[in-house]
Amino acid sequence: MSPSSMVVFTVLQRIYRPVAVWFTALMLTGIAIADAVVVRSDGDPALSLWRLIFGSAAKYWLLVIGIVLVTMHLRQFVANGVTRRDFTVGSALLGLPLAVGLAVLVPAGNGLESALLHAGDHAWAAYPGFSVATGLAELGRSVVIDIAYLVSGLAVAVGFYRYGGRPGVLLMVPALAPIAVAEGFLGAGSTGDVLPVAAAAALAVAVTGLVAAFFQRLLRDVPIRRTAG
Amino acid sequence: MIELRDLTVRYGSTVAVDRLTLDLPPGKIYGLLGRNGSGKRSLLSVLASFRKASAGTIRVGGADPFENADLMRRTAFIRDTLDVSGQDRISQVLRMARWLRPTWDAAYAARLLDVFELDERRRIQSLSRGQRSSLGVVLGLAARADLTILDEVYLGMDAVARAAFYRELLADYLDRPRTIILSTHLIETARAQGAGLTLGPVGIQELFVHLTAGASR
Repeated sequence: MSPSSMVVFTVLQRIYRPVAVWFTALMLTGIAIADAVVVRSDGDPALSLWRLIFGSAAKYWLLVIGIVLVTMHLRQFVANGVTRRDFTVGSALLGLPLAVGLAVLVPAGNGLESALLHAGDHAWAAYPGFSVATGLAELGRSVVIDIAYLVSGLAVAVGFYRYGGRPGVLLMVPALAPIAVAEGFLGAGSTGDVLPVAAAAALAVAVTGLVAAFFQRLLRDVPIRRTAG
Repeated sequence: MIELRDLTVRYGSTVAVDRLTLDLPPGKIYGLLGRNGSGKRSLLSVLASFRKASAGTIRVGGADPFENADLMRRTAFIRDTLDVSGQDRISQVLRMARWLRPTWDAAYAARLLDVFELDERRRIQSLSRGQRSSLGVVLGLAARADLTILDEVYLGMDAVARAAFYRELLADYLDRPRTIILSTHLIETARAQGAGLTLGPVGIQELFVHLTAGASR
């Protein structure tokens, strides 16, 4: 790892750290209010609002970060003397821990939400139970899905950035494969009947890795496009 | 020394730069003149590693600049559209350059902002064409890069800003000699600045003019 990659990582971290703090704070506030409204209205939530809302928001945000890294930051960094290779490594240094960190927050928030809801004597018949085991399972699932979204965001953006309209649309098929596999076998609706969870996770990681490698090859000598923005 | 040998840049079937062979000794200011579509930007993009050459070789200081971390760090290529986000403020753009460029001269950048009367709180998208060009000059000169390439840098500048640009460019060059390439399609403008050029129907190679030597084409 070159010193320049670390500089890229540091700069990206400076850009995204405040955004990540705001994102998490807004999520915490919004979901706390939503939970409070449900509790005060004597509703019995049949699902974890944190898991549903934060889990979804986190992965879509990672998808957007992947797209923005290529479409906006790549030319800014190259124009400031950074190689594509160092930019890619620096982006990975930012993106992967961020994806894991957000994935950790899914079961952590779910556990906190569950603890708060069960703090009184109120019994929640419909609210799904939370345990360390379910939390760890959720963590593993979220890590794989979040990284898949990040890589797909990067891959979609690289396809369009390099080849433009029609080829970019065609390249969306392989670019979105990580999301398709991760969500298909590990997403909310998956039961594990088709493929055991461990095998599904391994398949999703393999597909994500292959797609990342393929699109990294497209990125390593991509012309830096001009924009009017 | 910048050495180009049979350098070719193609976009599909369109040939933008055709087997260009050229040597540019270091430490001088060069003007690259040519009409729209003559391949100026393609050539500069290859010099700055923004694009890979389709064929031929390019050496900057004896090394291929493409994805060469050391050479890219010591090269500043400022395009007329600026490679910045329209949403960003000038201060954010300068901060990014300071973070990424080891040779960035923040004090000089601040002085240039004063010279061009740019308010660093302004967002890029709110700047006029001439103000964007002025910001390009700030980014290019304050980078203190060994190879500084300014593409169509005085587009939209008024006479005062243009005079300030030439004054600052020459003063800074005399203070810190380095290779600077200015490109423009405004041939009359370049001629008016004292290059004393007479341009015929020539190829891009012949359009490289060493301005500091007074039009030694």
